[in-house]
Amino acid sequence: MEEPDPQVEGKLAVREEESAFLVVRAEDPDDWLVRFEKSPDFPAREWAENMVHVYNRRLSHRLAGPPTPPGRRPASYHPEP
Amino acid sequence: MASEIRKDDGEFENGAFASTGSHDRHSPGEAGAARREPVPEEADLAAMARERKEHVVGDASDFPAGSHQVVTVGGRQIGIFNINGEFYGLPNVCPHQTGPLCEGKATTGTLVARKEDDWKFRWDYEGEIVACPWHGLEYHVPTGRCLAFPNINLRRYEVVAEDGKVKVRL
Repeated sequence: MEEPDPQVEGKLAVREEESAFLVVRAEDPDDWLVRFEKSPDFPAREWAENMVHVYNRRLSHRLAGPPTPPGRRPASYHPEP
Repeated sequence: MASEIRKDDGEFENGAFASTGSHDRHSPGEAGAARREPVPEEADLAAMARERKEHVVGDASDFPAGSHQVVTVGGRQIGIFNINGEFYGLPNVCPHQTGPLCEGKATTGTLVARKEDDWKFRWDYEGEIVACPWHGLEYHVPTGRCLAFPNINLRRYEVVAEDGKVKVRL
Protein backbone atom coordinates (compact mmCIF):
# COMPACT_ATOMS: atom_id res chain seq x y z
CA MET A 1 0.00 0.00 0.00
CA GLU A 2 1.37 3.40 -0.95
CA GLU A 3 1.99 5.66 1.99
CA PRO A 4 0.20 9.00 1.56
CA ASP A 5 1.99 12.32 1.81
CA PRO A 6 2.70 13.37 5.40
CA GLN A 7 0.01 15.59 6.82
CA VAL A 8 2.58 17.98 8.28
CA GLU A 9 6.02 18.77 6.92
CA GLY A 10 8.76 17.97 9.39
CA LYS A 11 8.75 16.42 12.81
CA LEU A 12 6.46 17.26 15.67
CA ALA A 13 7.40 18.14 19.23
CA VAL A 14 5.72 18.65 22.58
CA ARG A 15 5.57 22.06 24.21
CA GLU A 16 4.43 22.43 27.78
CA GLU A 17 2.46 25.39 29.03
CA GLU A 18 0.98 26.04 32.42
CA SER A 19 -2.42 24.60 31.55
CA ALA A 20 -1.75 22.31 28.61
CA PHE A 21 0.65 20.24 26.58
CA LEU A 22 0.76 21.33 22.96
CA VAL A 23 1.87 19.37 19.94
CA VAL A 24 3.75 21.76 17.70
CA ARG A 25 5.91 21.69 14.59
CA ALA A 26 9.44 21.04 15.83
CA GLU A 27 10.90 23.70 13.57
CA ASP A 28 8.42 26.34 14.75
CA PRO A 29 7.17 25.78 18.30
CA ASP A 30 4.64 28.60 18.00
CA ASP A 31 2.92 26.70 15.22
CA TRP A 32 0.73 24.36 17.21
CA LEU A 33 -1.69 21.68 16.06
CA VAL A 34 -3.35 20.26 19.14
CA ARG A 35 -3.81 21.25 22.78
CA PHE A 36 -4.10 18.62 25.50
CA GLU A 37 -5.52 20.41 28.51
CA LYS A 38 -4.11 19.35 31.85
CA SER A 39 -6.51 17.97 34.42
CA PRO A 40 -6.24 15.35 37.17
CA ASP A 41 -8.35 12.83 35.26
CA PHE A 42 -6.70 13.18 31.88
CA PRO A 43 -3.13 12.10 30.98
CA ALA A 44 -2.39 15.12 28.82
CA ARG A 45 1.37 14.61 28.76
CA GLU A 46 1.03 10.97 27.70
CA TRP A 47 -1.38 11.85 24.91
CA ALA A 48 0.88 14.59 23.57
CA GLU A 49 4.02 12.49 23.75
CA ASN A 50 2.29 9.53 22.15
CA MET A 51 1.04 11.65 19.26
CA VAL A 52 4.57 12.92 18.64
CA HIS A 53 6.05 9.39 18.92
CA VAL A 54 3.61 7.93 16.44
CA TYR A 55 3.79 10.78 13.94
CA ASN A 56 7.59 11.04 13.94
CA ARG A 57 7.90 7.30 13.54
CA ARG A 58 5.55 7.35 10.57
CA LEU A 59 7.57 10.20 9.10
CA SER A 60 10.88 8.39 9.56
CA HIS A 61 9.63 5.05 8.34
CA ARG A 62 7.25 5.88 5.54
CA LEU A 63 5.72 2.43 5.54
CA ALA A 64 5.16 2.38 9.28
CA GLY A 65 1.48 2.36 10.07
CA PRO A 66 -0.18 3.36 13.30
CA PRO A 67 -0.02 1.06 16.34
CA THR A 68 -3.62 0.04 15.73
CA PRO A 69 -4.38 -0.87 12.11
CA PRO A 70 -6.77 1.59 10.45
CA GLY A 71 -10.34 0.40 10.55
CA ARG A 72 -9.95 -1.52 13.80
CA ARG A 73 -11.33 0.06 16.96
CA PRO A 74 -8.76 -0.02 19.76
CA ALA A 75 -9.77 -1.47 23.12
CA SER A 76 -8.90 1.90 24.59
CA TYR A 77 -7.94 5.19 23.04
CA HIS A 78 -5.60 6.12 25.86
CA PRO A 79 -1.85 5.69 25.37
CA GLU A 80 -0.10 3.32 27.69
CA PRO A 81 1.58 4.95 30.68
CA MET B 1 7.22 32.55 27.45
CA ALA B 2 7.50 29.86 30.10
CA SER B 3 7.32 26.77 28.01
CA GLU B 4 9.30 23.66 27.42
CA ILE B 5 9.97 21.94 24.12
CA ARG B 6 10.56 18.25 23.90
CA LYS B 7 11.47 16.78 20.54
CA ASP B 8 10.99 13.12 20.06
CA ASP B 9 12.78 11.04 17.50
CA GLY B 10 12.17 7.74 19.27
CA GLU B 11 10.26 4.69 18.31
CA PHE B 12 6.84 3.77 19.50
CA GLU B 13 7.91 0.62 21.21
CA ASN B 14 5.04 -1.60 22.11
CA GLY B 15 2.05 -0.24 20.27
CA ALA B 16 -0.40 -1.66 22.77
CA PHE B 17 -3.21 0.40 24.18
CA ALA B 18 -4.62 -0.46 27.56
CA SER B 19 -8.09 0.35 28.75
CA THR B 20 -8.17 2.93 31.48
CA GLY B 21 -11.88 3.12 31.85
CA SER B 22 -14.03 6.16 32.03
CA HIS B 23 -12.97 8.08 28.92
CA ASP B 24 -13.39 5.23 26.52
CA ARG B 25 -16.97 6.05 25.65
CA HIS B 26 -18.84 9.23 25.06
CA SER B 27 -20.43 10.50 28.19
CA PRO B 28 -23.27 12.96 28.19
CA GLY B 29 -21.39 15.69 29.94
CA GLU B 30 -18.47 15.41 27.60
CA ALA B 31 -20.54 15.51 24.47
CA GLY B 32 -22.47 18.47 25.79
CA ALA B 33 -19.21 20.24 26.44
CA ALA B 34 -18.57 20.51 22.73
CA ARG B 35 -20.48 23.80 22.68
CA ARG B 36 -18.00 25.53 24.98
CA GLU B 37 -15.78 28.04 23.27
CA PRO B 38 -12.11 27.61 24.07
CA VAL B 39 -10.55 30.59 25.83
CA PRO B 40 -7.55 32.01 23.98
CA GLU B 41 -4.45 31.16 25.88
CA GLU B 42 -0.76 31.48 25.42
CA ALA B 43 -0.59 29.45 22.23
CA ASP B 44 -3.46 31.35 20.62
CA LEU B 45 -1.98 34.69 21.55
CA ALA B 46 1.42 33.69 20.18
CA ALA B 47 -0.17 32.55 16.95
CA MET B 48 -2.14 35.78 16.67
CA ALA B 49 0.99 37.84 17.25
CA ARG B 50 2.75 36.24 14.31
CA GLU B 51 2.63 37.85 10.94
CA ARG B 52 -0.25 36.13 9.23
CA LYS B 53 -0.37 35.11 5.63
CA GLU B 54 -3.46 34.62 3.57
CA HIS B 55 -3.59 31.61 1.26
CA VAL B 56 -6.21 31.18 -1.44
CA VAL B 57 -7.22 27.52 -1.48
CA GLY B 58 -9.92 27.58 -4.15
CA ASP B 59 -13.10 29.08 -5.44
CA ALA B 60 -16.02 29.32 -3.06
CA SER B 61 -17.98 27.17 -5.49
CA ASP B 62 -15.52 24.35 -4.80
CA PHE B 63 -16.71 24.26 -1.18
CA PRO B 64 -20.51 24.04 -1.19
CA ALA B 65 -22.37 23.96 2.11
CA GLY B 66 -22.17 20.55 3.71
CA SER B 67 -18.90 19.66 2.00
CA HIS B 68 -15.35 19.39 3.19
CA GLN B 69 -12.00 18.70 1.60
CA VAL B 70 -8.33 18.65 2.50
CA VAL B 71 -5.93 21.26 1.14
CA THR B 72 -2.20 21.74 1.66
CA VAL B 73 -1.22 25.14 2.99
CA GLY B 74 1.96 26.35 4.65
CA GLY B 75 3.49 22.91 5.01
CA ARG B 76 0.50 21.18 6.50
CA GLN B 77 -2.77 19.63 5.40
CA ILE B 78 -5.90 21.40 6.56
CA GLY B 79 -9.45 20.17 6.35
CA ILE B 80 -11.73 22.94 5.08
CA PHE B 81 -15.38 22.54 6.14
CA ASN B 82 -18.38 24.52 4.98
CA ILE B 83 -21.11 24.07 7.57
CA ASN B 84 -24.20 26.07 6.71
CA GLY B 85 -22.14 28.74 5.00
CA GLU B 86 -19.59 29.07 7.81
CA PHE B 87 -16.06 27.97 7.02
CA TYR B 88 -13.82 26.10 9.44
CA GLY B 89 -10.31 24.74 9.17
CA LEU B 90 -8.79 21.93 11.22
CA PRO B 91 -5.44 20.13 11.01
CA ASN B 92 -5.70 16.88 9.10
CA VAL B 93 -4.11 14.84 11.85
CA CYS B 94 -5.88 12.97 14.60
CA PRO B 95 -4.33 13.33 18.05
CA HIS B 96 -4.99 9.67 18.73
CA GLN B 97 -2.71 7.88 16.25
CA THR B 98 -2.18 10.69 13.72
CA GLY B 99 -4.72 9.45 11.19
CA PRO B 100 -6.00 11.68 8.36
CA LEU B 101 -8.82 13.02 10.46
CA CYS B 102 -10.37 15.37 7.93
CA GLU B 103 -10.61 12.68 5.29
CA GLY B 104 -13.56 11.26 7.14
CA LYS B 105 -16.26 10.75 4.53
CA ALA B 106 -18.94 13.12 5.70
CA THR B 107 -19.77 15.35 8.56
CA THR B 108 -22.58 13.99 10.64
CA GLY B 109 -24.16 14.43 14.03
CA THR B 110 -23.83 12.39 17.17
CA LEU B 111 -25.96 10.97 19.96
CA VAL B 112 -25.91 12.94 23.17
CA ALA B 113 -27.70 12.57 26.48
CA ARG B 114 -27.96 15.36 29.02
CA LYS B 115 -29.16 15.58 32.56
CA GLU B 116 -31.69 18.30 31.66
CA ASP B 117 -33.24 15.87 29.17
CA ASP B 118 -33.42 13.12 31.80
CA TRP B 119 -30.48 11.40 30.09
CA LYS B 120 -32.53 10.53 27.05
CA PHE B 121 -30.48 10.12 23.92
CA ARG B 122 -31.05 12.51 21.10
CA TRP B 123 -29.29 13.35 17.88
CA ASP B 124 -27.39 16.62 17.97
CA TYR B 125 -24.69 18.63 16.20
CA GLU B 126 -26.03 17.52 12.82
CA GLY B 127 -23.44 18.25 10.14
CA GLU B 128 -20.86 19.40 12.68
CA ILE B 129 -19.07 16.16 13.58
CA VAL B 130 -16.20 14.54 11.74
CA ALA B 131 -14.89 11.09 12.64
CA CYS B 132 -11.33 9.97 11.99
CA PRO B 133 -11.44 7.27 9.31
CA TRP B 134 -8.77 5.23 11.08
CA HIS B 135 -10.27 4.59 14.50
CA GLY B 136 -13.46 6.59 14.68
CA LEU B 137 -12.62 9.29 17.22
CA GLU B 138 -15.10 12.14 16.72
CA TYR B 139 -14.53 15.89 16.75
CA HIS B 140 -16.86 18.88 16.79
CA VAL B 141 -15.69 20.89 13.80
CA PRO B 142 -16.74 24.42 14.90
CA THR B 143 -14.88 24.16 18.21
CA GLY B 144 -12.19 21.61 17.36
CA ARG B 145 -13.10 19.70 20.48
CA CYS B 146 -12.90 15.93 20.76
CA LEU B 147 -16.24 14.51 21.88
CA ALA B 148 -14.89 11.57 23.86
CA PHE B 149 -12.00 13.50 25.41
CA PRO B 150 -12.88 17.20 25.79
CA ASN B 151 -9.37 17.90 27.06
CA ILE B 152 -8.26 17.53 23.45
CA ASN B 153 -8.70 20.59 21.27
CA LEU B 154 -7.60 20.88 17.68
CA ARG B 155 -6.26 24.16 16.40
CA ARG B 156 -8.88 26.06 14.42
CA TYR B 157 -7.47 27.82 11.41
CA GLU B 158 -9.21 30.94 10.24
CA VAL B 159 -10.99 30.35 6.93
CA VAL B 160 -12.96 33.00 5.10
CA ALA B 161 -14.78 33.34 1.81
CA GLU B 162 -14.07 36.66 0.13
CA ASP B 163 -14.53 37.80 -3.45
CA GLY B 164 -15.56 34.32 -4.47
CA LYS B 165 -12.40 32.75 -3.06
CA VAL B 166 -11.82 30.64 0.02
CA LYS B 167 -8.79 31.79 1.98
CA VAL B 168 -6.90 30.36 4.93
CA ARG B 169 -5.08 32.74 7.24
CA LEU B 170 -2.03 31.26 8.95
